[in-house]
Amino acid sequence: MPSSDKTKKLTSLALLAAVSLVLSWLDSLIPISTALPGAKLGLANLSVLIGLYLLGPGSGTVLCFLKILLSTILFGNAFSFFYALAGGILSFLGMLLLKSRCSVIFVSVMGGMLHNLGQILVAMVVLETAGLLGYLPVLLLCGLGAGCAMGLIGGILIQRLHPLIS
Amino acid sequence: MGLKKTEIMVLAALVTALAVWALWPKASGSTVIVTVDGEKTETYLLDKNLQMSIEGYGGFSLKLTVENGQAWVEDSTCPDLICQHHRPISKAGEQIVCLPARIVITVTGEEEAPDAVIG
Amino acid sequence: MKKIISLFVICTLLTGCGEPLKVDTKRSQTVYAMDTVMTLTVYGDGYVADGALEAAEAELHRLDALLSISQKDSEIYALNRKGSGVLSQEVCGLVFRALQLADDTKGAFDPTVYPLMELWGFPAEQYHIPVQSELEHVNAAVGYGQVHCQGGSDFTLPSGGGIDLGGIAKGYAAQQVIDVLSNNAIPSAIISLGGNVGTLGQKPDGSSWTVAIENPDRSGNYLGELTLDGGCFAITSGGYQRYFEQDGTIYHHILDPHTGYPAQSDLTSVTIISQDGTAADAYSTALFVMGKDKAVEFWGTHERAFDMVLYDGQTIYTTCPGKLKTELPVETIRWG
Repeated sequence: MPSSDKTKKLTSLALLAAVSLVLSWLDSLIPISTALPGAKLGLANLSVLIGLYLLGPGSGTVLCFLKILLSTILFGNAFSFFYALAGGILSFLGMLLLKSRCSVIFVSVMGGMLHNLGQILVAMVVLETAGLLGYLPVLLLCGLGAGCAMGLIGGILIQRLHPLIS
Repeated sequence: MGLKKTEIMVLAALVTALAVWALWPKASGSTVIVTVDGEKTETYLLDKNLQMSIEGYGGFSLKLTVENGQAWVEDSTCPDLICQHHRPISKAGEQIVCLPARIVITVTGEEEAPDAVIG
Repeated sequence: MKKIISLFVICTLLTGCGEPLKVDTKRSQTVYAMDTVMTLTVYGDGYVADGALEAAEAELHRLDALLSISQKDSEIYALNRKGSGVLSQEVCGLVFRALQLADDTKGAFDPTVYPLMELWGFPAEQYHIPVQSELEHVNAAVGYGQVHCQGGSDFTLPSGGGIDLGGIAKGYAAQQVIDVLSNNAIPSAIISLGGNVGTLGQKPDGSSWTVAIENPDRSGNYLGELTLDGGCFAITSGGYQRYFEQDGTIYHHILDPHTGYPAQSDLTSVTIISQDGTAADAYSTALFVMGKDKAVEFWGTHERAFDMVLYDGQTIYTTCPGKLKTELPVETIRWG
C-alpha cells in the first residue's frame, strides 16, 4: 500500500480513537435512568462503526480495543474494564458479521444491543446472579434507540468521509 | 442507506417484545436477600426498618437501609457509587448491584416470605 | 360487534361479583391484647372469615381480662392482692396446669416466680438489681409447692407470694383461638400471638406453613425456617427478648426460680414445637433455664412428645432437622 495511504489510515484511526474518547465522556455524563445507573447510551459505538466501514475489519478491531482501553483508563476503573471488554467484543463481532448483509442502521442497532447484552452477561457470571436479567429489556431498548440514532448519523458520515479516507 | 423492509420488521418485533417484557407487572416484594461474591449472606424482611453495613469483595462496603417497605444503598466506599445512585427498590425481582464489591441486593416476592416469625 | 361488547361487559361483571365466594380469600387482622401485638390470618369464605375473626378477637380480649396480672377485674389480680381466693373453673384449670407443668419441669418453669420479677422491675420496666438479702427474702415466697388448694378451687398463696400465668397465657390463648376459628368453619389459618404461633389445617394450596425463627443477635437474619403442619404450636424463648444492662452486665427476664437470678443458660434461643400450645409455652421457658444438656434429657424422658430447636449462639441443636431449613451448623438430637 502506498505510504500516503498508510499514513491516511493511521491518522484516520487515531482521529476516530480520539472521537471515541469524546463520545465515551459524553456517554458517562448522560444518565439514562436512576433505575439503571450503570447504563450508557452507547454513543461511542459511532466511531467503531465508522472505523469498521471506512478502514476495514483489521483497523476496526484495533479501534475497538483502543476505545475500550483508553476509555477505561480515563473514565472507568479496574472493574468496568471487563464489562466494557465483553460488551465491546460481542458488539464488534456482531457488527462484523452483519456488515455484508445488512444496512448500516441495522448493523449499528445490533452493535448497540450486543454491547449492553455483553455487559449484563459478564456481570451475571461475576456476581453469580440471574436476577440482573430483569434489567435486560430496558437496557436493550436503550441500546436499540441509541444504535438507531448512531446508525443514521454514521450512515451519513460514512458516505461523506468515504472519498476522503479510502 | 436506509433500513431494508425485513430489517424494519425485525426491529419492530424486537421493540414490541422488549417493551412487553419491560412493562410486565411485577409482584410486590417482601424480602431482601443480600449476596456477596455469589454467596447468600443475609435475608431481611422489607417491613422491618433497619440499617446494615455490608462488606464485600476488595474491602468495599456499603450501607443498606430498609425503610417503609423500600431498600436502598445509603453510603458506599466503592469507586463508582452506582449502587448509591440507584433508586429505592421494592418490587419482586428488582436488584441493586455494586459491581466492585460484588454485592447484590435482591427483592423477592411474597412466595418467599415466611408465613409467620417467632422469636 | 355490539353483541360482543355486551357479552364482554357481562362476563367482566360476573367475575367481579365472584370475589366474596372464593374459598381461598386471605384475611388478616391485628389485635392488641396481653400487652402485645397479635396477628390472625385466616383463609376461607369472605363472610365466614369476618365472623370467625370477630369471634377470635373477642376470645382474646376475654382471656386477657380473665388472666391479666394487672387488670383490676382479673381473678389473678384479686388472688395476688388478697393472698387467697376462689377461682372460676377455667382459671382454676389453668392454675393447676401451670403448677403441674412446674412440677414436670422440676421448677424450671414456675408461675409463682412473679414476686421475683417484680423485685427485678421487669413488669413495670423499672429495673433494679436486688441485693442478696432482698433476693433471699422474696425468694422464700417463690416455689410452686407453696401454693395450697382446698376443695379444688380455693387457693392460698404463701405470704408475699404471687401467681402469674403469663408464662402459659399466650400458649393457652393460641390454642383457644385456633379452636374458635375451627368452630367457625375456617379450614386454614395461622396466628401469631406476640410470637407464639399456632396453625390450623394446611395452606389453601395444600402446602405446609413456613415459620421463621428470629436470630437472637437481632440482625434481622433468621436462625432458620420451620415447615409446620396444621394443629401445631411453635414458641420461642430467649433472654434477648427482654433485658436491661447495667455496668456492662446484661440481666435478662428469664429468671431461674431456684437462684432468683437471670438463668445462666448456655442457650440463647429455645423453640418448642408441639400440638399442646400451653405446654409449648411453659417448656420454652423451662428448657431455656435448664440449658442444653438438661433440655435434651427432658425431651428424652417426655417420650419425645414435642420437637425443639435449641441455639447456643453458634450451633443449632434440633430434634427435627427435617422440618428446619437453615444456613447455620446443625446437630441432630437423637434419643439413645
